[in-house]
Amino acid sequence: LKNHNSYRLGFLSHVRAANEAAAALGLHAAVELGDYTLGVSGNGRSFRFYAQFLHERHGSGLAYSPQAADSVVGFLGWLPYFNKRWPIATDKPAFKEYCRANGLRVPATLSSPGDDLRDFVVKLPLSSFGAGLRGPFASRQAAESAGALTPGAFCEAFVRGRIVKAFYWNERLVCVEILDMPTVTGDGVSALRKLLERKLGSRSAAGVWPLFAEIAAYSGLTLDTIPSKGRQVLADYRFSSRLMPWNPGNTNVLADIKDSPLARRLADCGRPLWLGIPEPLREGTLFSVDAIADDQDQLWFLEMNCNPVCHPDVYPAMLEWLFSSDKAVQGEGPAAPREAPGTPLPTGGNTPIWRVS
Amino acid sequence: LNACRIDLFWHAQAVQACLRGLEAQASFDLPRLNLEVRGSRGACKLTPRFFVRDERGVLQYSSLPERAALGFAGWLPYAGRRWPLGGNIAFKALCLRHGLQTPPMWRSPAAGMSDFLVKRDRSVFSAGMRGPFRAYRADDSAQAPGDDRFYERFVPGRSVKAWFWEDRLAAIEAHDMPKLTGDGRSTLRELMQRASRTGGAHFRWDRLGDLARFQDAALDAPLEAGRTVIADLHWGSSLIPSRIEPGSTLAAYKGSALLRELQAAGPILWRFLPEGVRAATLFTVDAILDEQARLWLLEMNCEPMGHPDAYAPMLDTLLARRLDS
Repeated sequence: LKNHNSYRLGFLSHVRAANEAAAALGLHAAVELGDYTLGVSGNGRSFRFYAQFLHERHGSGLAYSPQAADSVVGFLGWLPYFNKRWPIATDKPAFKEYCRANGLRVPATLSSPGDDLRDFVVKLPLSSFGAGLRGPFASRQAAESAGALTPGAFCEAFVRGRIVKAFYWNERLVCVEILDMPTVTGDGVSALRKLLERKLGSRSAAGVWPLFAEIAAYSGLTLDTIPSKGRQVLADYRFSSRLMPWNPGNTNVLADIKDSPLARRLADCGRPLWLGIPEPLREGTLFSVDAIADDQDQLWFLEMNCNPVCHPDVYPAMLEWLFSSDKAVQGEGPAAPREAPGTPLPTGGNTPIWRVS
Repeated sequence: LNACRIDLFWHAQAVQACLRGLEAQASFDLPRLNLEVRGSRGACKLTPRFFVRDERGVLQYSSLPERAALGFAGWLPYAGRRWPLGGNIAFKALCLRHGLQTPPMWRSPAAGMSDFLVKRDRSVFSAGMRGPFRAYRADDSAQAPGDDRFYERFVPGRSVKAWFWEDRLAAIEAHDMPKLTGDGRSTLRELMQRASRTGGAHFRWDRLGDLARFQDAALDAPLEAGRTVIADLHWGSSLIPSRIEPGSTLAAYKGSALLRELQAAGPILWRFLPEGVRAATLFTVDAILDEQARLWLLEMNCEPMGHPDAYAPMLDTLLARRLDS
């Protein structure tokens, strides 16, 4: 609910989508309330799917967990396995290197910026949920004075464009979400802070202002600057920004763009990306990639996620493959860790319960 | 709006919490989401309901988890249960007869009638309600009398909804009527659209205009800087910020006069139901808690949305009595 799209985090959306996917294949499905596992059977096969939940813990950010507790703010979907991880999905520089070696375009990266470096963001190699993401910065001096160049961080060229999140079941593109980077437009009267407050509406929070101030500085503004009438100012560049327009519906645009060059590029990238998963883990795997589509609809890949939100639109492809492919391994799969009911979630630190890329 | 109350997940969590004490297990099947609870004391089946909007944008219940479903309205051991209590007018008459406080009402325009709402005797989700109005105007069609209409004194205060399982108070939800403060430039309509969780979709502007005029404001005039007005009376108003608070509502009101008053009212209200439908029934009562902490009962709902806190008494009853829907 804190996300701009409650559809893909809503338990009901997932139940409905899984049901429709199962019904289309003549399968029977039921959800056990004890651990929220989804059992699907039919055609002589049966699979158990493990639930994951998105938690928000006060003071320590977001985390994924198979436990359902009072800190849940969203449902992340069901997968027929638990916690697959592989190197290029957990290490951003390793992903960039793999992409370059396989002809997939990525923004330039530098471990230590030179004095002439312009227009970049600062990232941590192993972070999740945008933790440690800083900038964008117009110069090295700007990043230094903001204290963003911390040990271990790397710099990545900032590419403006539309934010793309693409989901693949194995090598098959199954879902695409595309969002414009949020902007606000000056009215010649209101300070930038006021324009942002209006756009945030009821989603405003005290903690957002340092980040917005940093993004404003990239445009040469402060939060107290009054942008001239009609001037469009970059307000954020993160997929999960609170400034994204509220959309309770399905944000999968794959059907809308299916004949476009962008869709073809995304579909073509599926196989080389999938082959980056080590062979023992490869079959029957969901992953997503984050990318920027520039003005020419060229894709700039940013990172790969081995434990993404399972978008509800993934279930048809997932069930179809599991209930038809010779490569699908039937059964329980590796189970999610079970905790005694009421066991508190781990606390402290800014690390998710297990790391997600 | 406490989003937990219309979320399938939080309803499932509430059921799961009950299972431990009942030594029971539960699952729901797809596609209908019928809930089956199996325990050492017995078993029961509950049927789900979902919120949908009809083609006019009016909220309705559906028994199917259709694509257009906006939220989950809970599981009940029956598919639909109404009783011939009458309507809101009959409810108010019963309240008065049994010493429960309810705002004054008029069946037709009367001299001295002031600060009133126009309501329909039989409606769901406040359909047909208009006002409040300062004084009766015969030339205003929104105030025109009708067979199904009555007039009720408007009581400002905290909106309260109480859930009862049979005679037991099961849950209390309450919120202040949402208010907006002017900035001297934005119109009230603009302020509402900005503050709305949904950007103002499905606002009933005629009602909101009534409320603005009642406070000597107007939807399309700038609201003076620093001036605060009540912006909406609707229970599920999108002007109420969304929050996620899954805890027990009765625990939150522990020791309060409101809790004691509603608990005491439960057995009286339950007897308003015809004897044949009293057993294993969930109902709600809407009320206002005014600034002097007086509780004014407004109406009773025989087909309310479910509440996660209601599953504890519900499953306790159903498994103990071995009732099966």
